[in-house]
Parts: sequence; structure tokens; C-alpha cells
Amino acid sequence: MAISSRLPGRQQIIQVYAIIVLIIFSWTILWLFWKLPSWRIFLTAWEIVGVLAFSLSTALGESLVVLSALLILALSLPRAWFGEVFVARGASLAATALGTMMFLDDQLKHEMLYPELPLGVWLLALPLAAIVLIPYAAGRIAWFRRIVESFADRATIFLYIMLPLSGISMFVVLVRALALTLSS
Amino acid sequence: MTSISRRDFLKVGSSVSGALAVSSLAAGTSLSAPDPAASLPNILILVFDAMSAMNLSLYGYRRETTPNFERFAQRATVFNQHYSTGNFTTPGTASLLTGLYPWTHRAINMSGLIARDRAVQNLFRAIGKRYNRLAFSQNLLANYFFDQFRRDLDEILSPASFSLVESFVSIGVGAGWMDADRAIGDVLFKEGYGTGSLVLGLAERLRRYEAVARRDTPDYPDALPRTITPVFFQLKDVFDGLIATAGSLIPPSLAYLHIWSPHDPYVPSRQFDGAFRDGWTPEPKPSHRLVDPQRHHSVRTLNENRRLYDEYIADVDAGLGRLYDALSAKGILDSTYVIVTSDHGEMFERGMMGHETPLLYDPIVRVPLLISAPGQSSRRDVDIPTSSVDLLPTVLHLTGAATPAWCEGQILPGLGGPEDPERSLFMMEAKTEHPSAALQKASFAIRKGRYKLVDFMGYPQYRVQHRLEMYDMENDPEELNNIYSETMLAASAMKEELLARIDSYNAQFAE
Repeated sequence: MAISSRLPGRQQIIQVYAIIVLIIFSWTILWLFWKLPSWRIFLTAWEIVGVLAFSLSTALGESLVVLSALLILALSLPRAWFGEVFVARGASLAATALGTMMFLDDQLKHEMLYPELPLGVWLLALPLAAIVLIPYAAGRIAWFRRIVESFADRATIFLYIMLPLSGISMFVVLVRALALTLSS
Repeated sequence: MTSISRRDFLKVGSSVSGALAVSSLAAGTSLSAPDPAASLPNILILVFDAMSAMNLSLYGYRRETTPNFERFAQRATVFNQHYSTGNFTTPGTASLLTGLYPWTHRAINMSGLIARDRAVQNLFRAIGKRYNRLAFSQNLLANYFFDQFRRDLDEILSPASFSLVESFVSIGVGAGWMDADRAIGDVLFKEGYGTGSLVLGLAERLRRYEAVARRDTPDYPDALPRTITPVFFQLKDVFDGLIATAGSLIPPSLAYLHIWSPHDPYVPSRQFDGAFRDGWTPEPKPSHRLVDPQRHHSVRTLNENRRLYDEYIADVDAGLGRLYDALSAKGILDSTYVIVTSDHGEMFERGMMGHETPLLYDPIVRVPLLISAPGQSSRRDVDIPTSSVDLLPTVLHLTGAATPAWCEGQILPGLGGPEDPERSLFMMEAKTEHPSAALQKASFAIRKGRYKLVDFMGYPQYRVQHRLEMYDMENDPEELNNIYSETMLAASAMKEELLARIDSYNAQFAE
């Protein structure tokens, strides 16, 4: 069987990617805005645009990595498990996995405590359980599935904002790289 | 076949920005031999971050923290009243490197930059291409300046050099990728807060966590020294790196080496851990009104951290001793000016710990300065107050260059400069202010002769616009007795001089 036939449909992929983009870009932009007030007073607008461009380009790369991981899962797992309910399970899996990453990120931020910081089983057990159970429920429970699919469908609006923004960011990175190379 | 190091791998695999930065690094600069006819001395500037002169036995501190500084001082000029212009890295380092006061270079905010039109007024450009110019800093705040000076530097070492566990933050540094540095250091891999890069940021944290947890470092059984970036390191590795760097300089070279220690976290190695459990506690000072209540520390906490800080200084001192011996053995001291100083101090009093404060008392602004001339064999003490803005003109003078007209410092006494005990020196703190606007809320200090006047301007904790404190530094070095009202004549003159400076600064922004 051709690999392309095992892949979810284009519209399904877009809906799952929309959830990924919504979470990853929101997180990056959140921390960008947290620093923006201080940059505003000592960086030029062009320099701030440069920092935004580097950050959003990275976010774009990360979102594609996460999408790739889900597509690999769709190719690897039986279709009935994942491919046939790709939007519900893919979107919920992406959301819980990225949510877990946010939780771990918060837990690990105080590196002053290394190596005593307890990165124990308890810290991972609950999120890991959520990563398994929530996507499972999203594929099995009809109303839950409808909610996830409905949300993923509406989230595609963010792609119309984030993807052009990412394109501009990549362009800015390239222009600045070129300018730096030519000036040095 | 050429092997690829882990660091190279990290660089290539990190991100588009990282990869581009690395390509720039790969094509980067290396030291080239200048005119061999020149017989100029090497200049080695060692800056120990957050090292208060008040905690060095070299300057009379009760604990024996710096026997090797004292040994080094036997062949150096020791400045006993040396002041930084600011109380944290950004303004202090900017003044060291530009010879300008903070109100002129305007790097006054945390991780701020030198004003664009002033960035060309720096030590590396002023000393010129006749020197090989190298810069290294473990503190990213100083690296932002190197980015600004990159056209005037021949080589910038990564802040992760000589480290155990490096960070993504080191990727773009030195390549002129200031945007990438900011994006990586301030957003994507920001430490102590959330990482803006959810996936890569977490991966990086887990990588470091795993690497630190698995490290084999018997000198540090509990915690490793680290920078805020964070880069984890062992002091002995850093000093080994400094020794190697100093030994590989092609004369004439100017090397600015900015070492994180003894900046917090205070992590002395096993050899010095507990070295000062002597039960000594300094006389407590009353809490200051400007200490943030949420950051107010008990006397016990202050004393405990002071002890750790002292032990960390002793650890740094041992490293300096090793460096001194190595330079001496290699004959480098016979052809090199070695300058040892700091960008700011540290305080453990008045409820305040560290250096994130509006206060400008001596523990936080008085820093060491020792300058060893080639072949110098005896100690010389300079008791006249001096400032970090004096370093640039002094270095230029030692290399036969004139002081630039824009420089606000002067050649240090004892090294060719005038001996003026009544000269005015300034310090300021304004990290919450806009660098391109009139100052509304800031702390200033002026040191002139025996007196020091401190002005807390615009703080809502005081009912007056200018809260003024005057201290007699000869009879009250601990700055406990505010004699402002008792020394009206001297205080008024100093106040007028200070206010004239502030007004002059603010006037340029008047509409």
C-alpha cells in the first residue's frame, strides 16, 4: 500500500496542524511579549523585528516537527487506532503532549536546584497518563470527539495569521543574514 | 576524517538561526600576527563579576579571602578606593569598555546596550588594529557589548568556553548575530522563566539536567557553579582556559576576560566549602527603606550568604594564584600588563543581598583594581579615589596612545595620571528608566575627597524628590552616619555638582 494512502486527508492534517500552531506560537509569543516592554526601551524597532523573526521562525520549525511526529504515528499505527480518527486523536494528543511540555518546562526552570531537582516518576506519571487517556477518549466518546474536531476546525483560522507571519519572519531572517554577510 | 564535536552538532542542528550563525562563526576571524616591529606590551584585563572590594582581605577584610591577590599585589599597583560607575554588570562593564559614565553610554537597563552613536567609542577601537583584540565573557550581558563592538574585535570567545555543560545560548555569540543572541537568550531558551521555545527549550533543559546529574565532579558534590545563561562550569577549568588563552596571545594583544565568579549562585568548591565557618558576624546595619519588602533578608540569611560568598571569593583567589604562577613561570608577566578588577560589588547588609538594588553603598560599587606592569617587582598603593571610567584612558596611555576627547575618565594616578584627591567620581543606578529620556527615578552617588553623597531621586518611598545622604568615608567607611545636615557647605557643593550633571543629562531630552 502506498504511503500516501495511509496518510490522513489534507483537511485533517490542516486541522491538527492548526492546534499545534495555536499552542506553539501562542507560547512563543507569550514569552516574546513578556520581554517586549524592556526591549522597547533599548532596542530599535528593526532589532526587535529581528528577534521576533528568529523566534517565530523557530516556532514554525517546531510546529512542523510535532506535526511530523503525528504523521509518523499515523503511518505506524493501525488505521483504526489513529488514522481514521486523526483529527480527534491527533489534536488531543498534540494538545496534551504540548501541555505536558509546558508543565515540565515550569518544573525545570529553577536549575539552581540541579541536580537535586526531583525529576521522579510522580512528575511524569500523571501527564503520561493524560497523553494516553485523553486521545483514547477523544476517539471513543462521540461528544468528546465532536468537541475536539469542532475546535480543531475553528483553530484553522490561526493558520491564516501564523503562517504568513512565519513566512515574513523567514524572509526577515534571510535578509538580515544577507545584510550581515555583506557588511562583514 | 574530521570528527564533529558535540558542540558543533548542537550548532548545526539547533535552528535556522543557529545554523546560519554557525556558518558565520566558521568563516569567522582568527588572530593574525600584527607588525612584528612593534614592541608593544600585551594587555590582559581580568574582570571578576560581582567582586566587592569590601570582602577582600587585600583591602583589610576580616576574613582571609584573598592571600593570592595579596601575593599578586606585591608586584602591582593597588588602587585602594576604586569605584565602578554602576551596581550591576551592564552599566559597570559598559563604563570599563567605553570610559564613559552611564548617563553618557546609556547602558543603564538590565541587558541594555550602549547608545548607537557611542558604541564606536570603545576600548578595542581606540587601541586600534595595531593590537590583536580578544574578548571573552561568561556573562551574556557583556557579550551584548561585544556584539556591538564586533567590528573592533578580532576574536570573541563563546561564553560557554571552558565549561562543563554548555548552552544553546552560546550559538550565535561572537558571530555578530545580535538578533539571534537576543532571541535565543531572552526568549527561546530563557532561563529562570518559561522557555519561549516549547519543544527545543524543554529538550535543552532536559539535556542539561541529564548532563549535570551525570557529571563526575568530585570538587562539587552538591551543585556546580553556573551562570545565569546557564553554563555549568568548574572554576579550575575556567582558570585552565585563562592560562591557556594568556599563553597563546600573539603580542601585542589586548585580551578582555570577564569571569562569572564570584557572582551568585555562590558555589565554592569542596576545598573552600565551609572554610569560613568561624562564627563571625559583622555588625548588623539597619534595613534600608528602598529594599523591596519581598526581597528583604534576615540578618541570619545575609550572614550565611556572606560566608558562602567569601568562600567563593577564596576559591577564585586560589584560581588567580594558579594563573599568577603560570604567567610568572612562562615569563608572560615580563611583557604584559595584567589588570584585575570587577564590574560591580555585592552586598549583604541593610536587608539587601546581591546587587539588584537601587542602593549605591560601598560594598556594591567599590571594586578591586590591581595593575601589574611588565617586570614590576614591588607593590605600590594608590589611596586616591579612582573610577572604572579611568581604565580605558590608562590602557591607551600604557600602549602609547592619547586619551580620546570623548572619554570621561583620566589616566590613573601612579601610572602617569594626575593625583587629584578632590576629583569627583560618579556612580548611578537607573535600570527601570528609559535610556533615551530624562531620568525620573534613579540613584546617584558622587565621591569627592573624603566625602560621598548619595542621591535617591524620585523614589515614592520618600516624600522629597531628592533624598540625600552624606558620609565621611574616612571616619565612617561603613556608611552608617548620614552627616548631610552637619556638613552643609561641602554637601551643598557636591549636591550642586551632581544635580548639574543630572540636569545636563536630562536637558538633552527636553522638548
